[in-house]
Amino acid sequence: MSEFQQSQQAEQAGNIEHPTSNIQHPSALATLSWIKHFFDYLGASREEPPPGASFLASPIWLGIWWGVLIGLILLFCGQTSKFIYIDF
Amino acid sequence: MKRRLFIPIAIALVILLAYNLLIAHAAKKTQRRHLLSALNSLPPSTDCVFLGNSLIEAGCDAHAFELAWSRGDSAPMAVNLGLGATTPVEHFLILKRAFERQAKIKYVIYGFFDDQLNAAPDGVWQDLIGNRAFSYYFPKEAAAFYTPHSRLGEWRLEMTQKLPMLAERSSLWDRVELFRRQLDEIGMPKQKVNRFGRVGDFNALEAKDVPSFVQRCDAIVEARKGFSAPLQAMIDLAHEHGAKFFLVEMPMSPKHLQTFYSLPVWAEMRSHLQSLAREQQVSYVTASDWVTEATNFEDTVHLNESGARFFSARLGTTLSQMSSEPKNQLVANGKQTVRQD
Repeated sequence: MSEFQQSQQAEQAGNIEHPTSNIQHPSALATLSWIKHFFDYLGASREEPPPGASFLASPIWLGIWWGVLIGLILLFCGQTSKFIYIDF
Repeated sequence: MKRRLFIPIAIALVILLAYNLLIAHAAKKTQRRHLLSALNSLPPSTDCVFLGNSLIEAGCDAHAFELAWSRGDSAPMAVNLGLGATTPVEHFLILKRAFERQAKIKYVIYGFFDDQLNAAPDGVWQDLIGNRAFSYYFPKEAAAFYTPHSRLGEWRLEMTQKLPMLAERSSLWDRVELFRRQLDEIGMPKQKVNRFGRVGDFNALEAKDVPSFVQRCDAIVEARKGFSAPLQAMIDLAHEHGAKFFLVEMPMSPKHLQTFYSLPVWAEMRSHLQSLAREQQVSYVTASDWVTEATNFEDTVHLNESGARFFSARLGTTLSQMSSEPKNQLVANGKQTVRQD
């Protein structure tokens, strides 16, 4: 049996504690979960925006988001060039 | 549904438009734009231009050159049109603009090092950044060298020229790069920089090692390779306008001289270049060993201010003597040899 299968079995049997179980504050957990949901939505892993962030689904936000992303890509895509002359 | 599609596209386009405006604004402050402005306002009395890459830009002091011109009151008014990180294609474009603005130029002084005179022009997308974006300002003429007889290649440069975020794409990259270097240096010793960039980076301009240098020179000498197309075009252009063309082997650091120019292959290469120069009625000046002190260089290839003054003064004296001779000449180690072909 592989290590992965062993760890899966142990987890199913409840022998391994989930790392987040050490977090004592439910509000912190909820915030982390919301942030995860937020980035999942931005990364297109979820179809619905997190609660309270319905603006993310608006066409205006989408336009800003993709425009800024394209701009950032254009700005940073020169990193691999042989860029040794800089006008100081 | 249409609204959900078109509104984001329209907003993204507006942001891209703003990015283009930002790039166009940043590009106004670049060295290539400054040179273009200098070309557009070239003084009518200009009769000598220095042309080449950063070796010329750093190494030619026009004032010292004029002062050293030893033919009495007929010293030419010299202008340094060198532009760092450029190739003969950009140099041709610069010279052409200079002749368009000022047709009375009498002397064109072209500085080079290593195998620069024979290297084929390379204008692929990833190369045309920084000062090489000068090629986008004159797409038709540049495409004639990069993609000869290709309408598609010409069209590609023309289309790129119209969009600042493509043609001037590196204008903001330098700021990103400076920021990245600042982050790199946190907790680390600062790297030495000069007016062109990080001193250590310029080692990359030299041949990687002796075998690769020998191989490059051998390939040129054995194939009896001629001057590259843009250099040939510059020589023809100068002759068309009745100007004298000087090829100057630029001063190299003692380390470069010892490592590369002391090799027998460089003697063969030089002899080959000199014979090509003779064929083209061009004067060849061997100035690579004129500056012998390493303290006169600010990195492995560029002269510093005192080195530039010394070299330019000697160049002025030498060329003033050569220019009075009707035939092409060769100069080695400052001792003039006149060849009557």
